[in-house]
Amino acid sequence: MTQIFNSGARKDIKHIINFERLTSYGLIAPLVLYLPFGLALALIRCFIFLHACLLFFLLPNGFFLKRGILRVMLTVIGLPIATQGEPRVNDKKRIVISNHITNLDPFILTLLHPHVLAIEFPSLLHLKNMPSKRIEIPSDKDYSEAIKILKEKLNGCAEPVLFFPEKVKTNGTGCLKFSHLPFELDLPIQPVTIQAKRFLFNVNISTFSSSIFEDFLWCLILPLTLFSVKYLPVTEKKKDETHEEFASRVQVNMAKSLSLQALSYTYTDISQYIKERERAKVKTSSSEKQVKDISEKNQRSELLDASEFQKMVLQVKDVLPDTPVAYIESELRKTCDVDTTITNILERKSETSSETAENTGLSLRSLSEGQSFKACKFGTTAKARQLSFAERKQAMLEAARLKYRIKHGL
Amino acid sequence: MAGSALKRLMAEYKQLTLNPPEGIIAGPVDEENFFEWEALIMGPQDTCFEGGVFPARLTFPSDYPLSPPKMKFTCEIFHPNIYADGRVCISILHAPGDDPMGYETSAERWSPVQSVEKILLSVVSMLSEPNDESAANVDAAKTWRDDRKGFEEIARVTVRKSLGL
Repeated sequence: MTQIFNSGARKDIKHIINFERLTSYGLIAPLVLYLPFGLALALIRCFIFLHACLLFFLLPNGFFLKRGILRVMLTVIGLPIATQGEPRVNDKKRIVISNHITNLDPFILTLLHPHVLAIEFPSLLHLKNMPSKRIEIPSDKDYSEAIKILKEKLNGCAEPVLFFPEKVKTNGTGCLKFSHLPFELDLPIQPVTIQAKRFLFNVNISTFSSSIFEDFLWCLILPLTLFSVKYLPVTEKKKDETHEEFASRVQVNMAKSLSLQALSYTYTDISQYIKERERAKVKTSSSEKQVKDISEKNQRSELLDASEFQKMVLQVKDVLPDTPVAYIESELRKTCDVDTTITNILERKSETSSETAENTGLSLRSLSEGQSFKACKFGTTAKARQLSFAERKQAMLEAARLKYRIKHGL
Repeated sequence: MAGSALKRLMAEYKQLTLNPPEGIIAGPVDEENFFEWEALIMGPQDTCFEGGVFPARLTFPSDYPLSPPKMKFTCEIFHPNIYADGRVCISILHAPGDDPMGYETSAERWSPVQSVEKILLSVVSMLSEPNDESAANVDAAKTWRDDRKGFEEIARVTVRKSLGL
């Protein structure tokens, strides 16, 4: 999906994802003061958590106090969970969908009620080492095939399946558009909303790239992190509704219950934004570099910072991996600019590469027909090139037809 | 980075125009958009696809060559490694990161060292030697394995259709 945003939309994306753990510099001083106490607390809580883990494995699953005891222990280690509403338990086959705000979500939801976690690749990779039961949905398969596989697996498991249809962690201030996959399985949907709140220190619970261990450690150090989980009524697809309409209806309902806005961005938009953001970062650093380069050029270019220079070499190498490093270095010294260097190398290469390419492709080439449709020159204008391209296509088709006719006596 | 993608694509276009491998033609559909290419591939000799000319679309990402292009045949083609909608499933088109099943080694997957020419040559060798172990089109894989005659017959029809005869 290539949606073009205006700058306003980008701002929105920026606001629903946390990139930094600390929201303001004002937090640092109290945090440093708190840290000795926090670390001691974390150490004690760590031992309590070990006991909780032990209990989790020792107590039989049917024991009615098990989840209660575990929740009390979690409260002691700073993770109280408040629930609202009850999930419908009578029909076993259902799908639970939840919004995704921290790495701890699957852990908490599974603790309240046993679930099987469904992981949609590639976005939820960070959940891959969750210690819960899970189904993995391969991304390299066809969409309809993935649904088929998923349905088969669903038949095999007794617990409801948990999906995070937003496919990416948000900071809980907006509800992203859902992936349609869980809605196409023709099962009743149990929406669950999860919210988290931190007391005293407003440190973000999870960031875009954080791992579960990191998030958990912060929870142990800081005094309290309250998770509130709310079970919404089970929803079923109406007869005259498409899967998309169903998905967006559930999304709107969940957003309403969280008193948030249902957004129209999908996971793809977010990942695109992230990519752009990273690119912009690289660009600003490289433009800083260029300014530096110019000033350095004035006092002879051999003073070029070695590590910066290596970075530029790597940038060129990324685009043209089969060019020798020594050659790139010598070109870069002349131009001091990544883009011009790439252009220079490419221009020089196309003159010499014809022989080298022939050697590498030879063994495979003999597989195809004994005809090559090459142009005698590469036109200088787009029009000339396109004309020659069209002519060569026509020639290939004609030649193939002629050959076919002769062979089959038509 | 779109600038370097364009430059690299231009260089590959030039290379493919002046010195194309036998039986392969490729270039941008319209130079207004350099990220959308068209390719014609001739069926390799001594295989059931011999004589056919198969058109395909290549779509390049803006961070090419860091990410691989996507390839899709625009004609009907019945082959174990081509999805029913024409998408080609070969390891060179997959980035090393996105194979959760892990049955492809990273050496044979996409990296910036690869090129359009290498992709197209891989497709030619895929046409001559289908790999029924990781099938994209299960029906085709089954026919290829169990009913070789039937598969060849379907291929013959495909070849004829591709020539518009």
